Amino acid sequence: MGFILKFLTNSAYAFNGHLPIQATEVAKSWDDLWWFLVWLSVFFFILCVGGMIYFALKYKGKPGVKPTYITGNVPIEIVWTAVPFVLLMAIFVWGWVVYVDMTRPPTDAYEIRVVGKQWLWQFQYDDGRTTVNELYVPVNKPVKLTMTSTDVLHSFFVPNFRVKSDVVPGMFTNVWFEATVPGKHQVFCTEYCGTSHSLMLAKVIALNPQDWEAWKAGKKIPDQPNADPVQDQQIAKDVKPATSVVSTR
Amino acid sequence: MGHSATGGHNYINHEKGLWSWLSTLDHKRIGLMYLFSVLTFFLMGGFFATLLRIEHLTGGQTIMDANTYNRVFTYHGAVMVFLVIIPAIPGALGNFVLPMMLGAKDVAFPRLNLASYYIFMAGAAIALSALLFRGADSGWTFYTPYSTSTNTTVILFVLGAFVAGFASILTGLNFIITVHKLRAEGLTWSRLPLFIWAVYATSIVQVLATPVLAITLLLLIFERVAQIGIFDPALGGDAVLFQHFFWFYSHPAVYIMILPAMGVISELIPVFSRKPIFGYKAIALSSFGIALVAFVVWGHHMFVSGQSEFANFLFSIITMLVAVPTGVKVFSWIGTMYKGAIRFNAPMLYAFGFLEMFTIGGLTGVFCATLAVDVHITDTYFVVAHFHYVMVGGAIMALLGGIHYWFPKMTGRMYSEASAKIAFWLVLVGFNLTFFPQFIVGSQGMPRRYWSYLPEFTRLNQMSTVGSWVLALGLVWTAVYLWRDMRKGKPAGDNPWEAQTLEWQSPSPPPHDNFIKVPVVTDWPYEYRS
Repeated sequence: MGFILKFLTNSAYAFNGHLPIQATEVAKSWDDLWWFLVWLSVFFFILCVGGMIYFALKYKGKPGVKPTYITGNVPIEIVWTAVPFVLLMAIFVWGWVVYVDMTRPPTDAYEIRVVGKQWLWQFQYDDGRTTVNELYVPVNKPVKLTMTSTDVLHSFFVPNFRVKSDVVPGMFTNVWFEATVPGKHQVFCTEYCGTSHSLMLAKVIALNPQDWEAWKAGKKIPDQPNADPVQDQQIAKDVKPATSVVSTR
Repeated sequence: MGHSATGGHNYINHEKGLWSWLSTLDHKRIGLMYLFSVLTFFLMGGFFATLLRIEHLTGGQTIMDANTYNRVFTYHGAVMVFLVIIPAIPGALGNFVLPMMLGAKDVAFPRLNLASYYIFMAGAAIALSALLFRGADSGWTFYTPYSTSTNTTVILFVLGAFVAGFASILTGLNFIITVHKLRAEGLTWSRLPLFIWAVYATSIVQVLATPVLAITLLLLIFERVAQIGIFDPALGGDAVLFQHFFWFYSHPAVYIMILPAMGVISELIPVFSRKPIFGYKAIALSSFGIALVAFVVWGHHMFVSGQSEFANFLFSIITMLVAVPTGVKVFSWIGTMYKGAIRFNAPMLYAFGFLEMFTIGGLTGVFCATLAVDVHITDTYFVVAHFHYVMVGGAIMALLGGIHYWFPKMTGRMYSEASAKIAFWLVLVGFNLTFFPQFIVGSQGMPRRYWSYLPEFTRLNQMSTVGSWVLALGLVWTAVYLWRDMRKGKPAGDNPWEAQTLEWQSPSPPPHDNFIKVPVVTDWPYEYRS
């Protein structure tokens, strides 16, 4: 199974199957919930579709075989109403707990302002410095983005962090994350915004403490690798990396 | 196509000529007109889908630029939702079958029924006329402020959906009144076929929810034309407000699409299992359970839209409840097969296909309802895969099953079972190959509505594209043999499936007035004892 998934996705992911790398603690708890749902679904799929195939073969109509007259069975019907209900409520609670972790930023989070517009991302830091399509953050420090749009809807999505929020004109929305893996993390715009929606890409560049200090001080820092090695393997092939411009103060 | 008891007279040869069809008040003819129109739009929407999949053979530009791609996915979505899936089962199968299942001569308001058809076609014509101008590129969801600021002729699509909505309301109204007033003697509520229960529940949703869409689309048109400032923040409006209005209709609309499909499946499984439906009451009530909850879950489309945490909490927990009646239905259908004497005709194969795909669609719906999980997968291909499993795997499989099931009644002829089996396997394999990879690529983060994509998503996209060709082949083949067998198939007989609902007590094809003798009902429609 793992081999097949690896083949299908060209991926080097070792422990989390087909999913993006886990670059935050939230990503880890998100993945636990994901795999629980996957295996629960596999169970119910086998139960339903397996049951269907089994019945279809076993009770295939043959001459002389009469069907049994059954119109229902109240205890069974109560069970298959109540058991899913309890399971679904448990899933809801688990989903809520992870959601709260994912969306409520710690009070000491480092705040960065984000503006989405057709078709680029602009980041403004506490010292007034701005960057475009490259978001520099320290690793192992909570970062809170306060985002808005100047034209239409956009959405800020970092698969490696499992976080996403729409970016809406006329209001402020937030995402927060604490990157645990240094390097470049892919950002997508995930709310349709017109012609170049699929080219409205950016990178979160998570820096080690010394690189972060150097970058904050305006010094040159070494090129950062992709946090997910899959993207390095692909880069040589065809697509140009997202255009990125860094303007300094 | 003669029939001894009627002297060869039936609804097809009752009157002759194109005009007799275009001006008919016969629900059966109107049903067939819906069927041909809807299948034409389905072909059109499918053509757009094929173009989208070809574009995704490579991550960069394959056959079209980004602006063309954005138009094509808008056409695909809008045509499939507003012109195919919403009207398909109620408009086509419902019109043909519902009055006959009730033992009635026609719907309560035959003129209104014909008017609904023309209103629907007018809506379709207005929407598609946009293609002659600058097209539309807002996506079928028309999210503001993009839809109010794009320079394409999105207003025509909005107006078309607005007009077509009235057809939906009027059909719903007509069916509700027909079910209340025109049931045959002895056809009590507890003896109603489950297809009627499902269409009845759907009709209520159509009547109550569609006006909200009408208001929303009208506001959107005013906003675009007069720049009032309802939805566009630049004019002092609220962008998220549109999403609330839109999904307040469009989520119930999802159930307008799937409930009648569930009704078809509830008919097919007992007939081909030769057994009573398992848990009649639970299936009938679960349709209402779903219809009711449908009105209070719209916010689950908006978990990352910026709506409050408290709203997300409520919408997530209520959405979970949808899975309960849905599960009851699936379990009851499978329970119906237990100790049956199952026949493997094409309608039953499509019921199997429905169960396989709808189970996947339903289970992945739980992923989407789970708050934290949805944050990562919303607006990715995971969601695209999920709703195609429900809408195509559910609604379209049931439509195909229903078309094959009632084909002998509609035409008096039998389709070729061998041709149908080939088509079924092509559709089943093609569909799963098209959409299953999209779950994986979505969970990896590939967003939807992307003209280009990153190289790591290539292989799964190519699999999906190849799948779409297999699926298209299966559907085109279906159109070919149904067209052939409609004219050249073997005479079917009045009740080839030995089914018990009233439409099968009438000749095939039925006479203009549906029944030779007014039927009297003495039992429920699932009395299969031998």
